[in-house]
Amino acid sequence: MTATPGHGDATSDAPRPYTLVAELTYRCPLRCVYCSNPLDYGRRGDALDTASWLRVFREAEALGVMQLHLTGGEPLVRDDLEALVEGARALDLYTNLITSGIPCTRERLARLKALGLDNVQVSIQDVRAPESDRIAGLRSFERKLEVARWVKDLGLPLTVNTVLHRENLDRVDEIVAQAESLEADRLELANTQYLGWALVNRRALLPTREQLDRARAAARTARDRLRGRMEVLFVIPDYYAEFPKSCMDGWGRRFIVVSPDGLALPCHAAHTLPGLTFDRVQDRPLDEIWHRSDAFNAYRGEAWMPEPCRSCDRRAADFGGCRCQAYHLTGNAAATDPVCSLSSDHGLIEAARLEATRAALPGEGTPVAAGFLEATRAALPGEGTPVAAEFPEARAPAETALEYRTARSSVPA
Amino acid sequence: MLLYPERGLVLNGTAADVVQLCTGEHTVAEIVERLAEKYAPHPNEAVEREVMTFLTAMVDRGLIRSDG
Repeated sequence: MTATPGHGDATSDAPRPYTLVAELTYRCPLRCVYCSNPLDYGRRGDALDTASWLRVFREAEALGVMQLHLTGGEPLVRDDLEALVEGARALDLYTNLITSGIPCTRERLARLKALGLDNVQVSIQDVRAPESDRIAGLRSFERKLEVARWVKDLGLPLTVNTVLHRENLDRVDEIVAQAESLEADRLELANTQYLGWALVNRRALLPTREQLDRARAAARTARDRLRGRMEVLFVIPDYYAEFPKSCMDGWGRRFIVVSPDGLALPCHAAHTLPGLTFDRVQDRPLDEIWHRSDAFNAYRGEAWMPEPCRSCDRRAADFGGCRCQAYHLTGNAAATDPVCSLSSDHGLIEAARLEATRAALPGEGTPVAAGFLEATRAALPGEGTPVAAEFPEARAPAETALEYRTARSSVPA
Repeated sequence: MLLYPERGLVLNGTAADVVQLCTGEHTVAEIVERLAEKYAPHPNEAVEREVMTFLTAMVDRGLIRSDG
């Protein structure tokens, strides 16, 4: 028998971070239409050098963090990733690399494994190159499969992550088969959540309830069939849940996200909330930020909760849901998450679902490409990002670039 | 705590005892034997039942692998 040995006592309910999400860079050669980078990421820069990140890891570990996600953007574009993995290993952190697989070599993966990397999560957008590359905005599908095979060849645990949306939701069986053929240890079937770029592109991405139900049933069958071989996770879109999920396990409770520009955040989108000032790890020790900053304390506990949360039995289970979703849909970050069927703003969600149902009707559908184009044009800051320039060899094919240029704005018009 | 991608599983004392013996060196029978010693006077059968239930759940979730 083999297992990953655990460490630490972790049963208290007091705010204590278990997980540090280190967003090492905004840069990424992909331009996925539901990218989790901020809308204005092209105007932001990476601010933390190797020594600063290692200090953040130490400060996080001292606070109780045991698990580290190295993500971005694309973490592999940092040439100090080896030093960061080595530093994390020295702190005995469980380290997970969350990557698109681009740009990667087998040699680099082998080095990272030797330095102590624990798990690799590779995103694969679909089951065939044209569809996958269209969503990613880059010819990358075949390479991703190759990288996933290297992960397994090197003896690292592999998580395959496929983000689901209207375009690929009917292919869950094929997505499962693909992960099986890659001998993935885990498959995350994560439906798009509608924040950031995904909210901008919601009209083209949100599925219908019928489509989601079919996909969920397929995932359940696969989960049962593969039990003990591959863990199959299916995360539904909040928009089709009856109650909100416990976003980040509660605000400032279990997670710290540090953005590429050094902001310490309770979640990766928290910087979009108005009225909160987030500290930079360059300016203030993490311990102080976690325990004493106004921003981390803003939505802790229950005192901030409005009705119906305040008197709801579920308040300790879902913590009122997602603050970012509340703000971006209702304009009030302290509102009950409108995905909750008890929220007075729940009509906003019902309207979005209705729109998705209408779009699925024959003759009524918005062609997806046109949908993206229209939605993202409105949101464009009017300037490109440096990504394309840094990855000249990784430019999308012309017609793909044209179709999706708006989503990540990196292809010159 | 048992850590794996995205999540962690908080183990209680006995679960942690089992996991700590899952080093790749012990058979299930040996694990049961060790724990029965530690938790005497619990009968061996009861310990075995609990260990098997726990290990099956862990193997199902891919958190522990059986080599034999």
